[in-house]
Amino acid sequence: MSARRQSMPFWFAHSSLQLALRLWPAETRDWGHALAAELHEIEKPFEALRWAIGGLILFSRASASHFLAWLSLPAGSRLSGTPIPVGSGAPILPKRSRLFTAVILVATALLFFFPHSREALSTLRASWNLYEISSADRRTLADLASEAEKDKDARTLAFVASATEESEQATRLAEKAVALDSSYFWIYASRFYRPHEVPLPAEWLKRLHASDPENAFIDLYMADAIAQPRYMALVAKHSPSQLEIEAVLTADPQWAAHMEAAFRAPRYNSYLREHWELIADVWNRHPSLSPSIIGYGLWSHRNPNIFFLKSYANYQAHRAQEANASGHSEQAVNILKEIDAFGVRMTDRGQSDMERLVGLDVSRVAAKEFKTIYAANGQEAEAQRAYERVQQLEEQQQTFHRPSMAAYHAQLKAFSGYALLFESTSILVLISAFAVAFSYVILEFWPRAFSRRRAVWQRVVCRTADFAPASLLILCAVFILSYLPFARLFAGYRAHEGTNATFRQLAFTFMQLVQFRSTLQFFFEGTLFWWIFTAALSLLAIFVIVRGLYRARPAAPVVT
Amino acid sequence: MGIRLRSSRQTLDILEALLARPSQWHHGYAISRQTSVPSGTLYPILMRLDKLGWLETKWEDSAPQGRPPRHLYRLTGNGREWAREELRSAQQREFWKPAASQA
Repeated sequence: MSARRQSMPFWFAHSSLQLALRLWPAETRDWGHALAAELHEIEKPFEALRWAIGGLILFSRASASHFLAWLSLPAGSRLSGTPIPVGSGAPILPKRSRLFTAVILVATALLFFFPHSREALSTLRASWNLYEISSADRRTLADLASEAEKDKDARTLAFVASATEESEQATRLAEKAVALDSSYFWIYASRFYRPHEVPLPAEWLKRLHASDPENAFIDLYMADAIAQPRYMALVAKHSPSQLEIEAVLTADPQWAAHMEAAFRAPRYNSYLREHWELIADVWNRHPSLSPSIIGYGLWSHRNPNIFFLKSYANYQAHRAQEANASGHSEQAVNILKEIDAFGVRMTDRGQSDMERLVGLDVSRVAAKEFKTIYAANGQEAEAQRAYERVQQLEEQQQTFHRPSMAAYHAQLKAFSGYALLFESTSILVLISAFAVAFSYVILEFWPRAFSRRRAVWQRVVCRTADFAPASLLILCAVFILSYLPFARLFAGYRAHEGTNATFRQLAFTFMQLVQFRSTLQFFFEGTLFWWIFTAALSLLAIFVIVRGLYRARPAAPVVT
Repeated sequence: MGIRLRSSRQTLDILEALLARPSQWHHGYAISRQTSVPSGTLYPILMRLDKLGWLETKWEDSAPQGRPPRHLYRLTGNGREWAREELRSAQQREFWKPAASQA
């Protein structure tokens, strides 16, 4: 007998049934004991094993029916407990069964399997993070980079190089992208002064210049690299005037040489279009990329410094003035023509609103100086034409502003509504998820609290358990629906492969999504909130004390 | 929610085994050997018969040392009547044959 029991099948049969008996639901456990008791009568080891397997099947069926019966009861109730008495002493329980809640929660979870839902969550997380690159984003970028390195995909490598915060990694990836496909040389420009005001390596500037020698933008970069440290040193001391900036910068012949080369260069290309197209293309291939990554790429492409450009235009205008005063009117006109030509190039070829406005302003500096010089020289007709040109440029600036601002306000209005709905629903979703979890934890882990007294808080917990799951489902659906305008906008950007208009929309939208969080932050950080909070707590304390005193008052004697 | 018992071939075999010596108490393993119904099928049928009130159950009064008491089963009066009717009806429908005729 003992040898039989020591055999492996018998040992397994016995141990598995003993383990099952420990976990067996109470209402059918006797049947489990009955089945296990028969095991001692079985002589053949494999017969015992078959018997035990049957026992385990019975155990799983008993557990499943126990679970289903438990699910069909409301939270806080027990299957093996005493029946619920009816009357004033009856325990207070929710009306909806656990099964109802489980179905609602499963339906809620299923909502998050739609691709838009995951995108909505990622957008929400990014906006709450103020579009800062998170550790998850860093991992995504690292994965993208390693995949692109394996596939020798220069486009994705260039994208990761432009979207990576970490300088060394970005430098390595940019080098690799350009080595694979030299047409991505412009990616060097996207790293200009990023992050933390670090200038581009001299080698990169040389390569940029060699790859695109006729582009004014490269010389503007090179001039900015010289001017930036001087400008920062000046700003550190005091707030400098435009004239002071001009004096410091023009004293450096290297800066002036680069600016001169930039103003004379036949082409102007800031590579913004190339950058937007690259982002749109990679985003299209990887729609799950976080808006933080996209935003970092979109906002980081730096335009030439407006102050420095304006300083050089003014400096040249002064030079023209001096040349004219010393009788070299032809030289003065040539200088001003050069300024105007650069302004026109920047206006025509600039890809962002800012570049076009700066271009118009540079041309206006030249036109105003033309007018002054022609008037001083007694050339009335030319002075009049220059005056008309100033008028025309100012009008262009205004008309450029007006539709742009009108579109901006229309966009802001529409998307501020969507953003408010999206962000406020997300907070309500969090509150209702917390309410579901809180009510169920209290009911399941503290059922005794609901068996005797019928206090208001018990009713509140039960009603919360009844209604919070359905509210959660509805709010999640609203949350996902409220994201749809953003999803359409993002899809539009990806489909159009990035244009100035969609870029502007995208940038405004990203800003709108941060607005709600900033307002909340302002509210909670404001003294008004804490004043209301303190007042509410004080009122509650007074109520509790007065109620206590009232209850403690001795009852008046009954007079018969 | 009412309990239903489907008169499957295994159920009918078990009923036949219990009816063979209706006043005697039967062990689960003995019924299983007699009918070749595995334990995973036998016990759910016994549990349903018990819930319907057609099966009497009791634990062994004195179990030999070293092993737990066994569970014993026999049909109640109503259970016997219902079982006989079920077997007769199944035989008429030619859905089931008694073990003796199968041999």
